[in-house]
Amino acid sequence: MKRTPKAAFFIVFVVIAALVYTSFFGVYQNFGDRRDAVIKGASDIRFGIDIRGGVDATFKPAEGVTGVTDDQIQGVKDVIELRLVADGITDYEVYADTANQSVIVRFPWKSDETNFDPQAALAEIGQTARLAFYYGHETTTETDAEGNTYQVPTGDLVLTGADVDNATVYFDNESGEYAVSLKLLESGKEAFATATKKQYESGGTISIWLDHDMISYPKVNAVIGDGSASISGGFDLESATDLANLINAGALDFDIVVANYGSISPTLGASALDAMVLAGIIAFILIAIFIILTYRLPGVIAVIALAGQVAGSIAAVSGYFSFLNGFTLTLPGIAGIILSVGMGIDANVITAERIREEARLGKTIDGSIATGCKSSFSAIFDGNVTTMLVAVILMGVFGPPSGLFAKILYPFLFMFPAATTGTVYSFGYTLLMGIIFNFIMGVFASRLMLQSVTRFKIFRKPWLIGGVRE
Amino acid sequence: MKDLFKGNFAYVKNSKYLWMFAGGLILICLILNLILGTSVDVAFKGGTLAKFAYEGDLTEQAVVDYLSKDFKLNALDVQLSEATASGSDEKYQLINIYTTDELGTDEVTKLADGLTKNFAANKLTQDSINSIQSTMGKMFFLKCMVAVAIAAVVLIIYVGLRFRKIGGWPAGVMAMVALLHDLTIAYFAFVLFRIPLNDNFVAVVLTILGYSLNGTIVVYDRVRANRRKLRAPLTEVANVSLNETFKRNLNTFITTFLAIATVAVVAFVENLDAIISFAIPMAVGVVAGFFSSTFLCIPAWVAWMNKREAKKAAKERSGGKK
Repeated sequence: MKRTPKAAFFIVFVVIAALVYTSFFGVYQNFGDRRDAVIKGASDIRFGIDIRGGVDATFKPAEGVTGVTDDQIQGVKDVIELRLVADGITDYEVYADTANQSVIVRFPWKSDETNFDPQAALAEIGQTARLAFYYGHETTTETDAEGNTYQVPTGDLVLTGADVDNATVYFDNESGEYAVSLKLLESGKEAFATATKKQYESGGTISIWLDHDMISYPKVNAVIGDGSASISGGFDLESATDLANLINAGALDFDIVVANYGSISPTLGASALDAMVLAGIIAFILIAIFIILTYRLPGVIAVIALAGQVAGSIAAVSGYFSFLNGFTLTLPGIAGIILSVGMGIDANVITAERIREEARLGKTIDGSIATGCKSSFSAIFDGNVTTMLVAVILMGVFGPPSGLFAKILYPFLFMFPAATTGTVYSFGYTLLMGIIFNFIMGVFASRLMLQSVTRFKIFRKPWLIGGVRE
Repeated sequence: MKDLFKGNFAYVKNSKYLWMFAGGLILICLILNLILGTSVDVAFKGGTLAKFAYEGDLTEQAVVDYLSKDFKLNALDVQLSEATASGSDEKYQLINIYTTDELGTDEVTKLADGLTKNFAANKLTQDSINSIQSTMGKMFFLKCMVAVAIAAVVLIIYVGLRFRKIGGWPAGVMAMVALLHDLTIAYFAFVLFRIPLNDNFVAVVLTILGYSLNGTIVVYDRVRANRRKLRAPLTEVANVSLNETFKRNLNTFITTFLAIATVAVVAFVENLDAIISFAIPMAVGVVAGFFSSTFLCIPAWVAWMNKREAKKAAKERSGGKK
């Protein structure tokens, strides 16, 4: 049998220690005043609105509105996104649930905000979008009665959203680029013809505005008399789709209303976070003491592996790995990390019990470990699969309708609306990540460490792996 | 009890009493449930739950009187409660207003403005609002129940397939019965601790299903290995397997329970409702899951398999006579 080299323990240990350190503290680089995360740490975690306070709402077309297309719902989503960004809220979550013709929005309070008025915030982002076309793209700044400043166009109005039929994305074979084709209603054709004529002759532009944002200002290259224009130049598929969606949303002739909403004031959350971190630390220490007292050397190894598992879970929510985006962490999500510590140690417990049995039968240390590791694998695997199935179902039920797991469950759950609350989604995710990292740490890393550490003479005692003291 | 830790407990023989214990417990809980009733969270039943923080003295009746005078709210329910403020031990008082009406943002603003003006001395501030359309709430509840059913079926099929060599379907069905036990106990935890059923309930139920089945699988796995090794009657194989895996099941139970109980205790000390309603039922469910996968599931499966064997033998005998 090939023996695990002695150095393996140290290599695995150092890798885990490095993972623990970097996942908690991150790695940052300073560029003058700017602090960029090279590796994201625990301070980069995006917390859910149950911790930070915030608003959670479902928008739907107003009652009596029929014939809303999926594209229009997508357009509503894009408008809401635009408004949130305009309000300085960047860590929002917006999902379009086309199956149920609704848009789900979640956003936290801004940290410097003192006046929490969820109703006003929702009224603002849910208002009917105002689309308008103006001559030129020069702007000036205007201040309203409440002291908010806006950019406003200086040119005259050409058209409003009521004159626009729709916008679509197409691929222009000639230029090899994506472009947006714009169709106007009869009411807008004349005004647009006049405007394009004037701007074409003067080499000017026509700017397109949604609420207070200038979303595009194409240069006019032709006089358009038939109400069918194309906007091109420098678009890729994504940016062209964005523009088309926004124009479509501005051309919507229906209102959206808030169907469900919830809001949480920020006073509750912060202490909850501290409490949960404290609970996590206490739980980890208690479990570590218990497992070391019970299983001795394999117990110590289990604790090292467990630290690696926790670090992995933290890394999976903070966006540490470049292939995994950060994930919103809610209170149940934190409970999921802690719970998966308690559950995850099962892999080590099963293996350690098996090793102990073998050792008590009088087998050699290497033999006990080899047999114990091998015979415990199927039980560990099956156990992890059941929990993983559960986590996947949780994510499918509570996650956004566009999520991977929701799509898997779609054949069974298509007739149901998206979850009215969003905190459990995070629990499913941390549970799933806990299991995956448990598989890496509790099975493979633990085994490597145990096999290599027992090659050192001072650890070659049957008692240390649960055998009888010599 | 001593036999349990010494590793020669007669599980199959004693399972009668343990099943009776479980049955009795469920019966008592059911009676308590009928007395206490079940409360359901806004997320499932729909309506509006508005919470306002206030200072000084206030009576529920005063709020009810004011609201019924100025607002026509259906099934109005007003309660006062206490919560802990962030980052300090300072307690603050809350008015909890529930109505089956789905209040829109405008209506909530009107309600908030009216209350703030009328109870100006109490310095009301909006704490949290939940307004859910009752049809959406009910559909969401249904979705959760379907999800639980899907989870149960998927898990049972998995067990059935993995253990088809030792009589897969009875193994799967008995695992299902054990899961039903866990599910019931987790539900009663919500009822007895007066926690409204919400989305946490689904998280708890599904997690417990996974946890409990995990324990059951470890035993089935051992039964499968021991059947080849021991070549003894199933009852004996099951007893040996259960005794051998008891330490593992117990220790994993202890670590899992330690984890979730710590969360529950800290949440209780810090008065975190959102976590208490998650952690306490989860802790109870973990106990139920440990109990059912150790004492209930396998013995019942053995009884079923033995009965099946007896039937088969009887059939062969009568077939032989012909």
